[in-house]
Amino acid sequence: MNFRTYLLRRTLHIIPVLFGLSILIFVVSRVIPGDPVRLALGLEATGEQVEQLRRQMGLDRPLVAQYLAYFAGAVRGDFGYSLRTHRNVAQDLLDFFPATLELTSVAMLISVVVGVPLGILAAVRKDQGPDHVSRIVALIGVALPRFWLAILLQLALAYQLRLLPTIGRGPAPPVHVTGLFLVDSLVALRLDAFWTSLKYLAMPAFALSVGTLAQVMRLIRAGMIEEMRRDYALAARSYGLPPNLIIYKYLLKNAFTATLTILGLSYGFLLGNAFLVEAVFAWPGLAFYGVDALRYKDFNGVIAVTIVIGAAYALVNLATDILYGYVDPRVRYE
Amino acid sequence: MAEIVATAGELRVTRTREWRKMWFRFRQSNLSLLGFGIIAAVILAAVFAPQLAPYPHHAGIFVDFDHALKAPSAYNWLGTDDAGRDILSRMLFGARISLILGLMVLIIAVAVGVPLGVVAGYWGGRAGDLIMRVTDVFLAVPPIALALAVTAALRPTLTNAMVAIAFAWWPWYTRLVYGQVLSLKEQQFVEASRGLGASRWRIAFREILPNAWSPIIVKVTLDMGFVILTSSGLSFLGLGAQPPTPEWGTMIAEGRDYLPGAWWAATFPGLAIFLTVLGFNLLGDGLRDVFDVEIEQWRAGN
Amino acid sequence: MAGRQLTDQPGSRERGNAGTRCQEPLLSVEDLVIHFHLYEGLARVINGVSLTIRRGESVALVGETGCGKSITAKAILGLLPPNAEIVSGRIVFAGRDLRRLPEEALQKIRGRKMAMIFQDPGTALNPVFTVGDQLMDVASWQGASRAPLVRRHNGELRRRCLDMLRLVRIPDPESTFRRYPIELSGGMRQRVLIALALLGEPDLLIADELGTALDVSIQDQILEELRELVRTQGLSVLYITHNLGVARLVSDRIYVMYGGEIAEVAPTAAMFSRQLHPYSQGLLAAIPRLSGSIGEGIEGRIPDYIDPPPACRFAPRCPFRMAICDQQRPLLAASEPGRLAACHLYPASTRR
Repeated sequence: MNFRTYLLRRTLHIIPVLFGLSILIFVVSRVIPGDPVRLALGLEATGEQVEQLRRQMGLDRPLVAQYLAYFAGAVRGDFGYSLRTHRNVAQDLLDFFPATLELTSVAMLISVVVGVPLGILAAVRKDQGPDHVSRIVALIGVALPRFWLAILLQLALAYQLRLLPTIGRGPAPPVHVTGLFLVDSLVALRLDAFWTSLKYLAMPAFALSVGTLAQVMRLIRAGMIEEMRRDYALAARSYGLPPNLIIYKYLLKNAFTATLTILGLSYGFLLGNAFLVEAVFAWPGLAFYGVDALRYKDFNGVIAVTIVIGAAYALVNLATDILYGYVDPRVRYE
Repeated sequence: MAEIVATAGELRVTRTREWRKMWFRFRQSNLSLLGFGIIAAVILAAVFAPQLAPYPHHAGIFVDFDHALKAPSAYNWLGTDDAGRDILSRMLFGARISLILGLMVLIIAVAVGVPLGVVAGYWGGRAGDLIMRVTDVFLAVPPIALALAVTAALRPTLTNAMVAIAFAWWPWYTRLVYGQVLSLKEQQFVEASRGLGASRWRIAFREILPNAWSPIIVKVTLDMGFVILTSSGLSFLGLGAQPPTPEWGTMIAEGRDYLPGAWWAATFPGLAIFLTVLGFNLLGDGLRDVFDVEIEQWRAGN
Repeated sequence: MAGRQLTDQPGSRERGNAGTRCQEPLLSVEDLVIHFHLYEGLARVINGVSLTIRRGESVALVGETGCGKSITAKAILGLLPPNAEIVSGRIVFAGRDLRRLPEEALQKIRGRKMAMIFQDPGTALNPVFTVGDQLMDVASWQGASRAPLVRRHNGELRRRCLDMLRLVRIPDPESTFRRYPIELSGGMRQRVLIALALLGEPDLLIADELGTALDVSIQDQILEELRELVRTQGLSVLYITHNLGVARLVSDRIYVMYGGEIAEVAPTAAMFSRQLHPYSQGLLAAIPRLSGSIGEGIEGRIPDYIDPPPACRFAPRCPFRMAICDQQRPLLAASEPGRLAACHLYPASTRR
């Protein structure tokens, strides 16, 4: 099948999946013991007040009707009203999403920027010192509970050594363009703001990145080892090409493309672990918002967060598919 | 006819020989043996917690504020928490909780996911499509997120956390088994069985499935670690096990308030989680090498 | 890079051709012994192989799969896998023993003095880079110890690469330059491989099973074209092949190899008119003839290198087997002028 057709099918596939997801979460959230309305209004509310609010929120109508109403609104960008924050959920999403985006993106960046060179080193020095060290680091990285690591880092770097701030995201840069503090501070040409934001970002992003970093390292190592066995690697050597060109240009490209698809999958785990890391560092992101919504049974909030995360995950995987096709011509010409 | 039957019998004999060879290979890897050792230790700790714990009654409801937040000492090897309870004892009982929870989650996930995968892979058709679509929906969000969303609907207890995680975990097995069945379907011994007149049920569950077990076993082993990570994360957020249950994640959440002073309350339970997960990972890696198996990481929509 | 022209015109290597017999051989492999460290044990694959190639000469190394021909070729280039060990022997190229050279020096020789044309055009080209990219990299950085990952534009080198594509008879060099290997046919890819090998203007080409992955008609065409190129440029070539027909077409001399040893050496015409070694005889009998007979195979299989026959490695399969064949290894000796054979049927091979 042609690559473009493949991409089109993949993109279209996302829609029914998200649709199904929304149904799933909606059903799960509505079919519960416990009454969010009563929780919101408090113990002093009269039965009448509860009923009134319930009617207002549409919670007295049949489930299917509720879902259709919700869906109609969601398509328009209206995700309902949060009984907890007393705002439109859509507005909440816009406020909290950039923080999570920044956190997960930087974590992914760290994983790749640190993981790839270490993986290459392990492959080139296979079965020697650096390889064994990398294996141990990878094993530890995958097994470490992210929130525990976050706490330890907080303890060591923030409390004891006072190198980095303990919690939070820090002050916003003077300009608000994207909501991503690093980007915005650069746009405003304020390097001091950039540096401050970076310091707040350092520990959360690192704690989040550790698992993916370990994975990238092992994948690149395995990929490079396999590449080094290939005929074209031998051919490149036979033409007298210098080793650094062979490794960093010819072999790495192939090894990296193989890693790409798994990176997309890893992003999902990054998003999942963001819940824990944001909780530890009080990072004002979507996951942090989501955890609060969960605690207070703010279902509109929960549904919206779930759908946004599902959409983000799907888009990242789509992006990696596109990137894969761009980098590896074999996929395009099949 | 007789030859085909004889071959099937040989197949089973070869498998026994293969088990022995696999054990030999497993023994050769130091890291796998280390994993095995760690897990054996954790299991022993869990099973014999009442006997091993110096203060077994601390695992339940107990307060002794005179001895609260004491540093590690001869009386309390790992110190005490804010209610004066011995951390070591609580951690040993926590091993029970984590292991049982992990086991339960995976039993459910396998019991639900594997048959669905076999059905979807072998029968295919509209039922198969439907199953895979539903699987796609479940896999569209990371498992932690899904488990969290489900716990929102239920009261936060350990049992409910277990249900929620199982709810999020089963589709991975469906996907794994689906892929396995698809590739095994084409192989010769299936054709031989069909030629002999075996029913489709028999082929699916007695011929194909036994050959697909190795990746499932590897995945279950590795998943034990990841499920424990997820459940302790949920408990940490307050959405799983509740105090005074000595679950490792809950203990970290409790101990966190007393940082940086009483560092031991939050640190040691985390170490327990780390070592347990590490053990399962090493064991799982070792098994994978022995079985020569690759677990394909499927994605939604692929 | 100046001084030598890549043209179809003969003459660029005339100097080499004239006094061929008086000169030292370009390549001389002397008693090469290579062992492989395998999980199952030590495989004594190459058991004392010697061959020489003179300037401007085309030599074929013929043998069935598994006899060690490719390993010999890789050993010459210094590209053996890590579990291979060259136990003894010399590989002398242009007067230098390659075994004594460090890797950096070997890298300067590869491509520029000797080059290999790989067997499978489907796997020997990197699939994620264009043909032009790979050609330019070889042209720019061959022999360098380090190279930047991004290349600057160089019009002259680009022209050179395009000329090279033209030389190997690729119809539209400009567009082929921009294409990825997957877009090209098997024959095209093979020509690109030849171009890559010739880019450094080597003195010695090693062609490993050239064209076996291709259609027979295309294989013939490419072999013819290569033979022509070789002739006009005065190159030396080592053809590795299991196909006697190919050997006959392209070579001046043939080495027959069996079980990691050289069985027989003879000029091509002589080899085809009469074979000395029983294995060579078997090889020729195995060729199906148009006149009718389908050809007879040779009984048996290649030796187990971990536990090889104690003396002559062909003895178990040999129809003329004698007692001494299991006791003493036959020497590769001249039984007739200009011909060598390693067989106890010829007195020169037996030590007294």
